[in-house]
Amino acid sequence: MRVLRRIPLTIKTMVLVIIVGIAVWVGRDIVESRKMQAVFQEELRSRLETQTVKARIRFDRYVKASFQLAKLLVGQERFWDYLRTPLWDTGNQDEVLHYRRPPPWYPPNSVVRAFPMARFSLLFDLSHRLREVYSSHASPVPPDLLQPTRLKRRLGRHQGYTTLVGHVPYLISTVGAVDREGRLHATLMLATPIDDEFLVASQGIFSSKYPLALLSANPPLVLASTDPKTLPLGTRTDALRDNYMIAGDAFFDYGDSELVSRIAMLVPRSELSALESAVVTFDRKGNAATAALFVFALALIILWIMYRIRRLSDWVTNLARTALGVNKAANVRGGDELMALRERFQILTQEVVLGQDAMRLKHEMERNAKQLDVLKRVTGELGVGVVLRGDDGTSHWMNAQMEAFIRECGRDNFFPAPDEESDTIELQDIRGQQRVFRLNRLSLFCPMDVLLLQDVTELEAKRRALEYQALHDPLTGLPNRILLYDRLKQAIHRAKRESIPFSMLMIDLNGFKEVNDTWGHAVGDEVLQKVAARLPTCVRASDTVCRLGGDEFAVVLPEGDLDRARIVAKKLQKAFEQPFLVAQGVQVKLGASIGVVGYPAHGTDAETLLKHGDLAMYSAKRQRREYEVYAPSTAGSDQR
Amino acid sequence: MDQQIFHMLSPYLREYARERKLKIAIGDSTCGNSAALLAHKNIDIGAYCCPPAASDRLPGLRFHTLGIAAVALVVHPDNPVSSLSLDIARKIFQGDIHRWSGVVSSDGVAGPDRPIQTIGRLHCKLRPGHWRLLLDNEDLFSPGLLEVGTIPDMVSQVAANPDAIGHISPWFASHYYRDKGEVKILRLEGVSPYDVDALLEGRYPVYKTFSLTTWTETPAAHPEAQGVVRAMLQAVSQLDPSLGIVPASHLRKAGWKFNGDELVGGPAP
Repeated sequence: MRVLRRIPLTIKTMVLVIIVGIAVWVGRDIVESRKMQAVFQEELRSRLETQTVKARIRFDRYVKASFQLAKLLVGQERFWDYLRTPLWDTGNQDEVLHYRRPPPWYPPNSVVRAFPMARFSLLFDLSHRLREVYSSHASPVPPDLLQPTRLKRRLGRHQGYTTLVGHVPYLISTVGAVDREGRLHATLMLATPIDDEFLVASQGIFSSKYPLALLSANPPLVLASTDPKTLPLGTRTDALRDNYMIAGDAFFDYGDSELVSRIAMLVPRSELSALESAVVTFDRKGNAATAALFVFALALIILWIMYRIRRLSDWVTNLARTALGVNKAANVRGGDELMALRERFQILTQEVVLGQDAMRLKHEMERNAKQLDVLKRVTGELGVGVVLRGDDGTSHWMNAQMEAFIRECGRDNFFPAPDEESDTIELQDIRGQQRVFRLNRLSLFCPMDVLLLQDVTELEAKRRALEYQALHDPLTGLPNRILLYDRLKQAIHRAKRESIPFSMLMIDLNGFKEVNDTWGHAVGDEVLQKVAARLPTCVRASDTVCRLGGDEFAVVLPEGDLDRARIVAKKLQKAFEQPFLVAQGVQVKLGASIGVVGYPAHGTDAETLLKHGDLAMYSAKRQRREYEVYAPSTAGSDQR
Repeated sequence: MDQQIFHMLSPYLREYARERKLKIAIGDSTCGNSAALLAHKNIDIGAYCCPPAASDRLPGLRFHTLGIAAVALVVHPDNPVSSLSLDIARKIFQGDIHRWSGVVSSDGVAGPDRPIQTIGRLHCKLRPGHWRLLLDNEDLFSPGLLEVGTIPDMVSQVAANPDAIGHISPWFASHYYRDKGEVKILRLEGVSPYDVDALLEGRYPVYKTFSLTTWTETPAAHPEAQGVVRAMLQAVSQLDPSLGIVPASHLRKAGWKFNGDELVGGPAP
């Protein structure tokens, strides 16, 4: 099958056409040859029948003309002149006079030639005694004619007829010479053997290719023929049928004839076969020529179609090469022309589709490039670094701002960082300055996303400053009440989560009002700053020291229970034992009232804890104690 | 124009007409047709293959003999007889000899024991010469003679019948109608009909005479026609010898009798 596919279509089609042509021709030839043979035999038989009928008609006229010659002879003047001569009256009536040349009572030869040649002309007298005989061929007269006893009986019947003389068929014509008074003077009898010569002469200048024969009906014998060599006298007719096709079966007689015969044309069967063969061969050659012509014409059409297919195929190849720059179409191998054409069309189609995609992509890229250019210009003005990043982390495009960021901070600080969750990148630039960038990711629903980097270093600094200001006391720098709440909530969350207690100390300075009143608010503020600086020294770094306002402070101990709170309260009291030295050389001695609350014993939310801390602190202040642990009765709390 | 003259002279006539820018209508026909057209003065020049009969000698019509050609006796190719004396030939055609076995060839070969079928084309019966040099009267021919009407019939009948004997111009038998069949040309008096020298010397006894006619009296007389005839009389001398024509000029030199341009008798003995 593969081998078949590789054979060129032209050859395959040609072979197919030739095979089909030969098959059709052979099939048609078998049928046509039989038909042709039948038609030929029928036609030949018909034509031979026609020729035989014509030959018989010529023979019939020839035979009948013999009687007319006899009548002409008797009717001519010289015949009567002769009967009136003394020779006829006084001649030796016992002797028969034989002529070798035409007798005096005969007409000129030019007239006689118009009639069948009478071989023997016999003249009888009134007594039917034979007086004179003329033999035109100078041949001896048959004895049966010289003693025509049987024939004599017919002399008075004045007719033409055929009869057998001995065993030879004869044409006999008898006419009496009767004068105007009706008296008979003599009787003329013309006798001619119906032999081969007679049969040939009867046909005039007609010559048949096939022999004619005069056949007797019974017995079935050849009486005469135009070809005595192959059809001699006496040949049995039934013996001829094996070797001859015999045409002409109409029997005829003439006059009072005991002889029934027919004219037949005989065609040798060998010749008939040769003729048939020649006709069939001719027809076969004609059919073969027609088939060859058909195949040739079809071949031309196929070659033309193949030529057009190849042209089309070349056109496809050239189109692929010139328009699309693809040489694959020229290198198609295997398969016939149609398969090659199909493959080239497939290649062309693929290339066209790819080309369309490429064109579309090119247009998109051009459009994107324009858009990127616009984006670049716009983003350049925005001061935002823009990066188009592939899903593999590769940056495909970045704007000038981004390039500036990379120059300032180094590429490695930004890439690769595709999967970081952080929205803020903090780093040091090449000058060692801390920089903060805000990172935004925009998904494009494609294998790329957009990274937007904004330099928020200053902004972040401002934000942090503001945040610091919001959560810290501006005088002391300690966390303020807001931050206290936040830390307190965090501690509550953690305590709840980890089921561990924590504590808080509320501190109110004792004697601070007097400082303000004595040395003014500036000294008071300085004293507060000194207090704020000293308090953190009494706690851990993880603890939070806050200024709630005025001279109130708070300390949150996230990992400290009440016991530790008590220790811290004591440390704080100890810290207040040393006076605070301010700038003008003033030494200020302050005390502190400390209220202690613990989670969850004294509250589970910030407000409650603050409220209970305040109660405990004021209780400690009222009772002048160092510290007081909150108790529901407040006054009845753990006191020192 | 008689068939044989037509084929002899038509190339020369066309060449003559082309050279002189004449329009000459030439017809391939028979002596009888020429005679009828001349009688009606429908043609300027007639052509005959036989000497003129008395009825052909129209007032103002002049005959110009072109030449003579032998008339051959022909038989079937299978016939062993190849040469006949004039006397035997006459007896055969008269019907005095009926069988080929009765014929002794000049070279001593006897014929087969078969009947003789004489075949004749007794055309131009009123005109002397040609077949009438064999037997001067149609009544002298055998009553058994088979008469044919055309030259091809003569060829085909003799070629088809082993018993036949006929008469014909040898050029027709061997060239023009060869496709009709093959016949055997007999020597007569030991002379081949192709032997133009023997014919010229009067040793071949049966021949035909070719003539052209011109009108000598107005209004039928045409000077161009007389020029054509003069040219053709000269052209005969240039004919291919295979045509078997002995030109009139040769006959004159050989002592044949002429009356003006017309041949009237054989060579002096």
